[in-house]
Amino acid sequence: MAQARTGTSPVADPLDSFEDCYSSHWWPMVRLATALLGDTAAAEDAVQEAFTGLYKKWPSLQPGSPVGYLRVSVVNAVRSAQRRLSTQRKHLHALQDPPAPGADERLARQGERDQLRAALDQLPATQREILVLRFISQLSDAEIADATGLSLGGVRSASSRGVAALRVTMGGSR
Amino acid sequence: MNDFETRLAARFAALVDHEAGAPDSAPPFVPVLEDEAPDRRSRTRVFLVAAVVVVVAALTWAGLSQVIHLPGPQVAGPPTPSAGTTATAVSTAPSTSASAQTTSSVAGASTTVVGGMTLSLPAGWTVTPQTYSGGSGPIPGSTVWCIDPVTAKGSCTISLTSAGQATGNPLDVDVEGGWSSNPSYCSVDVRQGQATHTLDVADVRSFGGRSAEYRKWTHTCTATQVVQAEMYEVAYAPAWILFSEHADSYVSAVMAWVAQHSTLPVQTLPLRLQDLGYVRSVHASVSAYIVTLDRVYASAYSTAGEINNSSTTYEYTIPALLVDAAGKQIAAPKVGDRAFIVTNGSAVTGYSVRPL
Repeated sequence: MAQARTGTSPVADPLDSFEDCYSSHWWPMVRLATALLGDTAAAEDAVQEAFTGLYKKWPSLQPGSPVGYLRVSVVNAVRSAQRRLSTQRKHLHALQDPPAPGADERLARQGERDQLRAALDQLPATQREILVLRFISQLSDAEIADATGLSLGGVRSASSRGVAALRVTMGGSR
Repeated sequence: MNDFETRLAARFAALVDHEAGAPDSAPPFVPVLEDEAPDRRSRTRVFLVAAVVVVVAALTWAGLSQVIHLPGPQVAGPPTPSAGTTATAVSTAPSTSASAQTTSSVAGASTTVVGGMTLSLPAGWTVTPQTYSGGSGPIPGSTVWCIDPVTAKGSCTISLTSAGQATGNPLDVDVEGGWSSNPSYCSVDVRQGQATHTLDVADVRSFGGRSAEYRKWTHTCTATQVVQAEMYEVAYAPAWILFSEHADSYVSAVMAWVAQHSTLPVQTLPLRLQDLGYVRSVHASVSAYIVTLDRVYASAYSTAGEINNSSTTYEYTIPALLVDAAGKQIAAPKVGDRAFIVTNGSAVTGYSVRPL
């Protein structure tokens, strides 16, 4: 196994080393990718791909930029994974077993999760990314703009539309 | 963040907690040693070849389009979407649902019949019947369609409502959405000064060849949460409402375009379905009160005040039974009342006083 680079780096505190960055941000990035993909294994692969890219860039990154760079990398890796997964799911869909029955409360919670996942899957990819970055990663609009490559206005517009779509789909309209 | 968004955040967290499982520590990092990527020069060559192919294809297509150009008027599209919007300009008519029959198209636009209305949409926009879940639904007697960029189909960026008369909920041209209701766009209280609500524009504009009440509102909930709402409402039967809670400059331009290029069914009944104004005169008879109403443009929020640009009055006949019958507890109309009047298109069916 190659050793993570440690010691001095041009990157600002508190992430003194790639190792620190990796241990601090691996799990939040897995959550982000999972929310976007709905598939933990694929999410971990996407995060690994993003960290590999970060590892290569680490010596040349500007102070303070690794998390932003990492987030953009995760979003891009997720986009690639979605293209692969969409093809696979077309073939796997018919083979999935229906969920086993369980307690009412558990079924209700599962129903809510399934409803949100189904609603998210119906959103345009851009809106889905923005809502996940907002609600899961709790980023500001400006940070979301950096992560997705959209303008600030585009983020706000897509966010508003995404929330409105979920409001309709999930029965939350006034 | 409003109530719905708070609930949404909780459901997002629950979803990802379930899907990602319990917090886990990072596994050992194993960098993947890849083969060296193609050098920049070879990647540039591939890109240039691809670009040339695309340009040639585009030029060929443009030439063919000139040859097979469809007859009919050229319709100017709305402004180009600002960077970051999800709208995508396409040159073909968007797909429509089974209940929306496409009848013709011109360059840059599509024309579709929905509920008797000939709806014109700019390129890149599509219409679908609104779907409902969780027990919510349209106001009885009305039908709603969603007008969206083709990339956000079903999001209801703009809603189009055919407002039937068989409803228990009267129209209200001064309320966002077009019906009597109590819309709440901010989780903080407007009346306590924690948010601002403004009625930016109130006038009469053409919508589908008919006269419509036009309103534009801005709700500033926080520095980062601003809701822009815009509405065209034809208040005579058959009534129609074009409304958006996402009325940025681009969506606003699309609404104006739709209003200008579409055609609504003609008015069928003489009376406006809802009106609001000050009673300027009252003539009482045995069976009715004939009032003249000085119309005002108002806001659901009293802090926004009201607008009265014209002294024109409109005559309504209020059946005495509406106000005099036992149990009605409504005072007879008198000069100075700020009156809210509801009709079925032919006769007044509701009269109430709404102080400012």
